[in-house]
Parts: sequence; structure tokens; C-alpha cells
Amino acid sequence: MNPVPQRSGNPERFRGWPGVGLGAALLATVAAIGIAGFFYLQSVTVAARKVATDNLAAVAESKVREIVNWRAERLSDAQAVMQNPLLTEPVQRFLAGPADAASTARLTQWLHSLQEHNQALRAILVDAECRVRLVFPADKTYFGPIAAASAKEAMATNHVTMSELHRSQFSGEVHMDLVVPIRSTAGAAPVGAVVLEVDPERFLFPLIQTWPTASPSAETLLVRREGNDVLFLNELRHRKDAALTLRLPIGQKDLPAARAVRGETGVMEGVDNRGVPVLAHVRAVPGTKWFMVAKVDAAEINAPLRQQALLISVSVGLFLLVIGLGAGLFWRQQRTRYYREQVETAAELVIANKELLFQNEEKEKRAAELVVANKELSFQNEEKEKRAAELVIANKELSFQNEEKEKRAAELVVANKELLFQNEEKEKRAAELAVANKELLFQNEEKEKRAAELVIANKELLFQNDEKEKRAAELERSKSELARFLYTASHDLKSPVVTVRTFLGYLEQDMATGDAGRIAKDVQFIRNATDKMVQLLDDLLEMSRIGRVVGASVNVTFRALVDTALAAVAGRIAARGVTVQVDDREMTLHGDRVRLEEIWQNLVDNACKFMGDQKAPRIEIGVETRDAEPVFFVRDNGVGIDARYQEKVFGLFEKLDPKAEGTGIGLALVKRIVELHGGRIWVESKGAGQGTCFCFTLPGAMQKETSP
Amino acid sequence: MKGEPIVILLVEDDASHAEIVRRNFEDCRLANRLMHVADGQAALDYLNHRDAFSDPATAPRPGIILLDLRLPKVDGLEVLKSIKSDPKLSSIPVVILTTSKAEMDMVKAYSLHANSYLVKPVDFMKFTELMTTFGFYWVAWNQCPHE
Repeated sequence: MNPVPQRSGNPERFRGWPGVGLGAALLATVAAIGIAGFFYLQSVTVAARKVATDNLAAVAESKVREIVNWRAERLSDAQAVMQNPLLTEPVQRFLAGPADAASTARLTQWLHSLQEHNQALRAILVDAECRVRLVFPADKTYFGPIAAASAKEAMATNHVTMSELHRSQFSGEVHMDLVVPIRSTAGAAPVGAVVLEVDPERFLFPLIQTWPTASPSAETLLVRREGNDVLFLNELRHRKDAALTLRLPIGQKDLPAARAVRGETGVMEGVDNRGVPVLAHVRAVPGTKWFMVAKVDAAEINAPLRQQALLISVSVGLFLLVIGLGAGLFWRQQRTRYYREQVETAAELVIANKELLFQNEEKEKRAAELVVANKELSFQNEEKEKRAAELVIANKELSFQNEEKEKRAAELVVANKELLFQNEEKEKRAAELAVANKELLFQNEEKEKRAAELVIANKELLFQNDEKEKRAAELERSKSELARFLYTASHDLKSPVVTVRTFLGYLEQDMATGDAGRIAKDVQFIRNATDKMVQLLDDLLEMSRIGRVVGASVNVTFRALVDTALAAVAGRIAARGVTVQVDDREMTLHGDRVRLEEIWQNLVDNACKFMGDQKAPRIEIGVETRDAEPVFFVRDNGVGIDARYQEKVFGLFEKLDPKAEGTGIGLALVKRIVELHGGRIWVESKGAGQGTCFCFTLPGAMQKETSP
Repeated sequence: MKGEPIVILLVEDDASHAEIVRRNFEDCRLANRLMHVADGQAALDYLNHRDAFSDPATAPRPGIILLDLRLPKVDGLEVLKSIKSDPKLSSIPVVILTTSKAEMDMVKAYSLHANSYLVKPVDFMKFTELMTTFGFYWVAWNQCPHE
């Protein structure tokens, strides 16, 4: 496999990054140079301007100074003439008298020298009336009004006067009149004046018009105000026939000459008489009405700058161009190289790609094969692992079972030893057992005997316990009954006593009053009460006897008992007319005969007593079998007993009817006897008027019969 | 009941004692009506206007009850309990008149809200005096609300 060829750089390189960089750098450079150039130009311009203005100022300054000097010279020269008495005398004589040829010639020569010395056009001698007396050159004898005015002024003031520049109307020449007044020697009146027509062309105008340096446009002007105009005094450089001719309005704003006349001084920019922008320096000429303007065309100042700027720009431009070209060339070179490289690498890449594709295909085939192989492997691995796991489990199981087996083996060994030992023991025991068995058998017999004895003893105990409990209960019952008995007895005994005593009292009273009826009643009450007492005591005795004296137990038939009982109460039965029916039952009872008789006796007695209104009183006596038990009954069809009282009737001294006979102990007695014989007694009655049935059991009296 | 004589209900099983009480009231000339019943059941029937005493005319409401303790059918204490637990009857004063001096009886009687407990004296004079005092106290002096 060929390695992928190295490239010289990113494919995008020349599309963007360096070109941009280079372009940006160029741009920056251009900008920088441009800005620098601009600023340079600016400074240079300012400097040039400064230089120009300095120049102008200097020029103006010097020229003004020269003009002033010139004027001063002229004036001093004139002054010298005036003050020279050698000169004034001949002039005075000449003017005064007729002029001789010698003095005329002498004076003419003097005028000539004056004219030459003062750079004048003419030298004129005038008299006090301003008539021309003498002139050099002799042919020009004209004398203008302006000159005349100046002469007059000079003669009047006796001062040297210099007139303004003016153009002569005769000669057309521009001059200024310098007048020297001549006085008489006496000093009083002027006799005349010498007028010199100073020619500005000799000094002044050249002075003005020359420029110290070679300048194409610079010039100096001399101007003065005339009315509302500014008058140009000298010949202009760029304009012909301007001297004392050109007038421009004083109000013209940018005209430096006008501004000068308006009073401005110094440097100014403006527009001159040609309409050209100029840089000017303006000064007033001291001692005159003149103003000096030194100006130079702005273009002239700027021209070199422009030139310079142009030069710089061009050079910079060239420079940049060179750089640009260079950079461009470089870039292009790089690009070409890069593309060449690209082409090469592309070719190589193509080959490499083909190679790669081929290899990829191979790889994929391998990969596919590998995947399949991997699946196979993983599957087999799983299988192996499962087997391994199973093996592990199986091993564990085996080892565990081996352990178990060994344990069992060990246990078995032990157990075997144990067994052997035990077998020996067993045989010993067996022998012993045989002996013991015999022993046991014997003892078992003994035990059974004892057991039997125990059973009997237990029965005995149980029986005795029962007996004890019976005794205890009986004791309790006896106690409570005794208490109640005593209570009742005392109460019931007391009652008749109260009656007796009370009625005895009444008896006494009644005996006192002799009320026989009452007495009888009282006695009756007393008797009744005592009877009651006696009965009560008898009953009490009877009750006590039940508890104490118990007769010998004999066998007696049911029938015999009933008959005896009936015989005892035969009287009551007959009295009430009661029919008695007795069951013919063969039954033998065993117990205290007297007591047993009392049961029926009392029951029958009661039944008779409580027949009430019964027309056919009837008593049934018999034995029933209820729940396999013999139940004795005494049934009557008497007044019956209300359900509420069926329990109470057995209470001691309990009488449901207080008027009835008896003390109320009958049923209590019967209950006592029945209970003595282990039985129970109850009443069955449907209620008042429904008859009564007393039922009772006597298991104690049956004992002889039912015992096994 | 202004002006009208108070009815006294005597519950006593012994006829002779009843006679004594009656005679005493006569001697005192207490203008009262003495109603006599001989057992506990009759007393309750009387008070509740039941059975034999269904007609209220035969059983006027007593202003005071003289109650013996030992009674047939329904015991005196039972009667007392019944009277005192019946809102219609509980306001009637019940005076126990008995021969029993037993503490037990007294305690029981008072616990069942008996208004008074009198023991029949054995002495004739004392008995008379007791009855007289009873009569004056309970009939003449004692005030009852109008029924």
C-alpha cells in the first residue's frame, strides 16, 4: 500500500487566506502611504505658505523702508536747498528783478543739477504767483494745476511739500512734485518755489516692480485711495497702462489693494485685480497716503507643492505598483506551484483511492468473514460456558455427595461398632429381661390388685366427698334455715303476744265501761292469739325434730304409707267432702316411716285446705315415670297456686292466705323430708282456680331397690 | 285535699293487729278512712287499681300507708320497693309498722326509702300512745301536697 503523498498545504489556501492577507496588506500599505503622503503634503503646504508669507512680508518690509528712505532723502535734499541761503539769495534776486543772462545761466545750471540729483523730470522755478520763471529742460514750460496747488501750499506753509503722484496733462508722464518754497532773506514772504517733478520711473517704480526672487507671478503694488476707489499707482506686471489709471471700488471684498486702503495690514488671501487668487502682504507706507501690496499668485505657491505631491504620489504609486506586482507575482508563483502540487497529489490520490477501494473491499470481505467467525465463536463460547457452568455445578454436586458419602461411611462405621456393642448388650439385656419379665409379671399382678383396691378406695373417697359436701351443704342450709327460722319464729311469736297484751288492755277498758260486746270480741282475739302461739310452738318442735330424730329405716310399701297418711287427715277429708283416688302401685320405699307418712299427710291436708269453692273436690295420689325416674304426685282441683308464688309456698311460715289455717310450715316440712331422702319437690299449677299438683322424687328411699 | 279526710292504707296480715289499729283510730276520733288489705299482692293491686280494686272508688288513693313487713304473697319490703320505685306512688309516705326490731329489717326498709319505721310495742298503753301520736303527727300535723 502506498502512503498518501504529503501536500504542501491545505487545498483552500490560495482560494482565500493568503490572497486576502496579501490584499489586505497591500490595502493597508496603500492607505498608510496615502495618509502619510496627505499629512506630508499638508505640512509641506503649510510650510510653503509660511515661507511665502515670510517672503512677502520681507519684501514688503524692505520696499516700504526703501520708499520711506527715498522720500526722506528727497525731502531732506529739498530741505537743504531751502535752507541754503547761498541758493535762496540768487533765486530771490532773480525772481525780484529782471533776469540777467549770467544769473539765468547760473540758475539754469543749478536747476539742471537739481533735476539730475533728484531724479526729476523737470526742475521749475516759479514765483509767488506760480508763474514759471525758469525751467530745465528749458523747452517744457508747462505748469499744471496740481503743481501749482502744491507750490502754493508750500509757499504758504513755508515747508517742503511733496505732491501725490499724478499724470501730467501736458506730457502724460507720471510724476510727483517736490516743491521747495523760497523765502526772502528777510524771511517774511515767499518769493517763489522750486518745483521738481520727481520721476518715479527713476527709482520708485523700479523699486516696486522688481522682485527679489525669480517669481513668475509675484509683484508689489502701490495704491492710494481716491474717493470711493482704490487707485493703482504703478504699472502692473500683468496689466498694461494701469498706473494712475486702474481704479477699483474700495468696497471690493477680496481685493487686497482695497483691503489695504480700508486699513487692513498684514498677510491676507484674496483675489487681485485680475480675479486670480493671491497671497498678499499689505502695509501702509508711513508718511504717505500710499499702501503697499506685495502679492504672489496662490497657484505659484501651490505649484511646487502640487508638483511635489504629484511626485510623491507618482513615486508612491510606482512603489506600490511595484510591491503589488511583486506580491502578485509571488502569489501567482505560489498558486502555480500549489496547483501543480495539487495536480500531482490528486493523481497520486486517485491511485491511492483505487488502492484503498480495493483494500476496503478486501477488508469488508474479511470483516464479513470475521463477523461470521465471531458469531460462531461466541456461540461456541456460550456453549462452552454453559458446559463449564454445568460441570461446575456437577462438580459441586459430586464433591458434596462425596462428602456426604464419607460422612455416611464414617457414621456407618461408628454405627456398626455401636451395633456390635449393642448386640452384646442386647443379649445381656435379653437375659436380664427374661428375669425381669418374670419379675414384672409378678408385680403386674400385684399392681392390678392394688389398682383394684385403689379403685375401690377412690370410689370410697368420692362417696365420702359427696357425703362431705352433702354434710357441708346441709350444715349451711341448716344454719341459714336456723337463722331464718329463729327470725321468723321470734317475729311470729311476738305478733300474738302483742295481740294478747293489747287486747288485755282493751279488755280492761271495756270491762270498765261494761261493753259486753266489745269484751267478747276482745276475749276472742286473745284466745285466737294464744292458739296461734301454741300451734306455732308445736310446729317449731316438729321442724326441729326433722333435723334431729330420724327413725330407723324400714321397708314400707307406697300403698301403706298413703293409707296411713289419709287416715291421719281423714277428718278434714270428710269435712270438705274430698274424693281421694290412689294409684295402685307396687312400690316399696325404704326410710323413716313416720317422716315419709308426713309427706303425704301434709300434702293432702294442704290440698283439702285449699279446695276453695270447688264443688267436686278431688285429690289424686300416684306415681309417674318421668325421664326414667319415679315421680310421686298429689294432684288436686282446688284454688291452684299463682306462678309467682310457686316457689314461695315452700318457705317457712309462708302462708299465701293469711286467713287459712295453719302456721305455714306444712310445705316447708314436706320439702325438708323430701330433701332428706335426696329428692326434690315442685309445684305444677296453671294458676288460680286451675288446681295444683305437687310432684316429688325420693331417690334416697328408692335406694334399696335401685342399687345394683 | 283540704277538708277532705286522708285515706290511710293499712297493709297487715294479722287481723287482730288490724283491729288494734282500727280501734285506735276510732278512739282518736281521727276522721279518716282506714282501708285494710291483708297481703302484699292485695296492697299493690289496691294502689295500682288492679284486679279486685279496678274500680278507683273502691280504692281511693291513700295519703299514708302503714305497712307490715311480714306479709303473705308479696313480702312487705317488696311492696315498699314497688311503691317507692313507682313515680305515681313514690310520693305517698310509707310508715313501716312491724313487730320486728331486727337491725337488718330496719336497714333494708330505710334503704328502700321507707319514710318511718315503727315497732309495735308489746305494752298496750304504749301501743295506744304510739297510734295516737302517729295519728296526730302524720295525719294532723304532716302536710302533703294536694294531689
